[in-house]
Amino acid sequence: MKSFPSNAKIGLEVHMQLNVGKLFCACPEEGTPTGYTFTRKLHSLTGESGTTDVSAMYEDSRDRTFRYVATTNSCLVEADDEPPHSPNRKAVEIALAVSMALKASILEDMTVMRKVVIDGSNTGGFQRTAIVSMGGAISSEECRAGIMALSLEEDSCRRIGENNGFTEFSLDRLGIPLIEISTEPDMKTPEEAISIARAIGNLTLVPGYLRKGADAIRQDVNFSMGHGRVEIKGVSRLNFIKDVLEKEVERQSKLSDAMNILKERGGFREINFQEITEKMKLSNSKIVKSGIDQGKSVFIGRAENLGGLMKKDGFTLGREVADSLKLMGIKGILHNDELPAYGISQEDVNNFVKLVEMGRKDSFIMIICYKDQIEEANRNISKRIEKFLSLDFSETRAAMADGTTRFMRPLSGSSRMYPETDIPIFHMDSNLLSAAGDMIPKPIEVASKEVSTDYGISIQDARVIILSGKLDLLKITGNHGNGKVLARLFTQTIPEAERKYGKEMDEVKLKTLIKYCSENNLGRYSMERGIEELLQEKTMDNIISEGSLLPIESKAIMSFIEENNLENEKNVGTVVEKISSALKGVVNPGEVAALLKNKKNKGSN
Amino acid sequence: MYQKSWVPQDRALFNKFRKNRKKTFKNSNKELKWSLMSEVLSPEPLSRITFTWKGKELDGILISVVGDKMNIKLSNGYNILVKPENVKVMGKMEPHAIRDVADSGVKGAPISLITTGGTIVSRVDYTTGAVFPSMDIGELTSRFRYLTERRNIKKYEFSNILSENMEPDQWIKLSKLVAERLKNSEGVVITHGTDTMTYTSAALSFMFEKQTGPIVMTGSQRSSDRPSSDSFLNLEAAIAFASSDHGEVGIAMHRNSSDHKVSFIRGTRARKMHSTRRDAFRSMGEEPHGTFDMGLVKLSNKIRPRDEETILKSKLEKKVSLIYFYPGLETEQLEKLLDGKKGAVIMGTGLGHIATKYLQSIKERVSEGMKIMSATQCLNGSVNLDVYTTGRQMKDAGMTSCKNMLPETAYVKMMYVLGNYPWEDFEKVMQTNLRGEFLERESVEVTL
Repeated sequence: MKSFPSNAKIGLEVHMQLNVGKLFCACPEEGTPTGYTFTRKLHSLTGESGTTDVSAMYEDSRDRTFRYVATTNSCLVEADDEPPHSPNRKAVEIALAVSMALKASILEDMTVMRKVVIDGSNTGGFQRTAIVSMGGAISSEECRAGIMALSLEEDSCRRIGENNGFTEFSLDRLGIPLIEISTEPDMKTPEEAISIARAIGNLTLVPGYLRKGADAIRQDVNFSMGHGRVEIKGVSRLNFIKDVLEKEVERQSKLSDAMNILKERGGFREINFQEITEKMKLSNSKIVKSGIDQGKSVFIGRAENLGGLMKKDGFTLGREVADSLKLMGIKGILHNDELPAYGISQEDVNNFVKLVEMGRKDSFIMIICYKDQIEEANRNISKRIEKFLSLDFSETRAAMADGTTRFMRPLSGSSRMYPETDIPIFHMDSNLLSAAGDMIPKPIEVASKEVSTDYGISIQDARVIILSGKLDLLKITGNHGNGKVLARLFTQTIPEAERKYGKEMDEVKLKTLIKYCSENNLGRYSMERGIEELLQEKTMDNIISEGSLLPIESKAIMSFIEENNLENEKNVGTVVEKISSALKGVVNPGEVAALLKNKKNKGSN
Repeated sequence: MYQKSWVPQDRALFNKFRKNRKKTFKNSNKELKWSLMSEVLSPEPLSRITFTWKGKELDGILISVVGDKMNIKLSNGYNILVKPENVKVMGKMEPHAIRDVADSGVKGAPISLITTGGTIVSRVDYTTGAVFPSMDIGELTSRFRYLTERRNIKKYEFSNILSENMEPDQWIKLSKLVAERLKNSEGVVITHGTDTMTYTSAALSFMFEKQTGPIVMTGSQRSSDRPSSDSFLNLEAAIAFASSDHGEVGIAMHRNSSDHKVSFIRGTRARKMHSTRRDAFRSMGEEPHGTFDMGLVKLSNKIRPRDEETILKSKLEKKVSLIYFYPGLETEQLEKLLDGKKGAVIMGTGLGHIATKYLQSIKERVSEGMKIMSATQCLNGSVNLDVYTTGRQMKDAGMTSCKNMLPETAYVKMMYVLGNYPWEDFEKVMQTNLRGEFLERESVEVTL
């Protein structure tokens, strides 16, 4: 990777789930499937300004049915069979407190809006969202970024996948309150973006407002390098920001190179597609065969001046073009630069070249689709290439697992927003504001110092515990001098054990374990044993009933040492190991050492 | 793409819309503090403005003035309610465009679509942010673009009121329009607010003694300003039921929470059983007459066939009461509800019982000629005045039983019978099953 472009502008939209129940109903934020499902269709509507949002229209043209899986934390509100309740006051308080920490200007009244999203991820066909404050700024060691707005919104459904022709969603995530912080495009490098994203995340993580879970913080990245704004959705992990941005720079550079070549060659001309279904009926290509079997037709056309540009230096313009057809249900295109392949022979290719009268600088494009789709497909291809030619690369893209991005839809505009008519304008009363004033998140430095003093642990350990979201576990034990033990547990034992078993520790189980140990005065060794056993898929109930975390009594240890003639064993570790494997319970090596010493002393007497 | 079929908006509607806006604006203007006056007097709603708020320069569209604040739609689409400073008008925005797809060009006997207001044609009032009944029939068809492409649909605007404001006089007017439309249509669809739809469906059921085609009512529980509205499927199904071969009055609404099945419920056995769910309309005590499932209509074999002619008996006796008995209802209150009436249906508890303290007054009223009947608050099951002493005393006082007729249906039927039949036939006609309002047998398998 060469240096990052100097004209790059990066902005962030960070979404943070809160752990205070759902935003517009009384459901908790965690739940499991109930077995009840229902299906819905969504239709695009005109917004307040009388226009239909272009991204919404894209989805509507697909006439899809969505299936929703109800969960124990969903009710009629999530099913869109009941109007939303009044906003969750606790969530509003947190949004206000975070606004105060950012020194933002708070709106006296909150207007809840509907943002039309008809890809099925919201049962109502819209996401409820409201601006709480505007302005303010956030700083990191790397840079300072202005804040455009802080909004409170409901999370969407969790996509499960495709099932029997339906796109399936779970209702468990729908309605969880999200704080969305959008920054000005003030960052210039991926490093700066990561540091700001981290600083924003800390606003809810440090005071413990953030929901636990892998997807509790998600960010969208806005990026431009002079070719229009690209909004990249779903950049989940922080370190992923760097990968995604670097790959996007590469994509845009190669795309603009390709467009410059195309311009030099004389530009783009609309493709004239002809049908060759009959000729292709005997083809050995699986793609072609299965298409024809589904009643589709095969079309081919000359792509003037695009020879060698469709796939070049690891960049596939072909894929970018095909992306414009994805929403029509057309999976892809075939073109000269990647053939022969997919069961299409050199001979076939030669025939195509002759058929479309392909020149030296040209390519050909083959599309397999229903007959009545070809005109629209061709229009979409032209529109997309012409947009690229004007060096306007603006659009909404989705981040893929490998760090690349794929076209999702055109940038959505303001016409997809209209007021939520079921919720009156919500006034920020003085009770809310004063409650928020008491909840302003402290900077991590201040918070770790406080925790360090309260629990008698190092500032560094306190910091790690806070940032791993385990402060509430520390609080369970109360201030009983267990801080050091727990700090060790969270910062060393658990990560090591997780690596050993290749599994993540379940937060709920861990909470039960710590509660049990602290109530029964069980120390470090019991907790360590508990963690091992939990990671071996034992349940807490089992562990408790087996009593395997209780300390082995000194008497039992003594008699074991005597019976096995271990009095003269020099290595305490060996003795501990033998005791552990033979007796039920937890053994404290310090105690064994003391007993051995005692025994020896007695023996020499 | 869709944009091609958009045409310039309806001028008349636009002007009406603009006039309303001005009105709101003027009224709220009076409350403005004078310090803001000079700045806000010029921008009208739907003006593009620039302004500053807490030192930030912003731009957007003025939606409305609320007290001393402005409701402004920012360029990112969010609305905010703020006290802006340095407001400058940058121009005017073109309001709501309505797509006219009225002319479908489909041939064949038309389906008449009569709109009466209600959620199915309601839209957002961006000034107040509330849902209000839509004035414009074009609005409806611009929303339901799939419909007009398939059927020859003729549209008639009957009224534009929320169904809670529907009165018996409107049932009569509506019945006349329906009879008129039946002459030239294969069937009639009526969109109606859901709150009192079952009263109207019962009224139409009785008033049409004979009908040459289906009369199908439909509505929506979830507003049609949401992409997930049930109105799309309900209206599609209603049109399908109205195109089928039968002569019933019924209600077409979602069978369950999913968007794939719609029930066709007999007009006299329908009841709204939930305030918000899309499957709120239930067929009480019997299976629905028909189902619309994935585009296909299935009808029960008990459904009434089309008649050769339409006979409308549109008189209704309006001096009828529907009274809900409850513990603590004072005799004087009941007396007041009965004053000046020719008949009353009292919804009693359980088997139809009411407190015996009223019986003296009831006896007097009946002897004066008033018709007083008992229905059950249970909705499911039948009134029976023979089982307990109270019931027998009610009979002795001159009350009669609505049996398993739904209370609202019984109320409407009483208006119909008093309006169209001789006085001496009242008992006989009330106890005759005219439009399937009585269940002859109740199956143990029907769930509540």
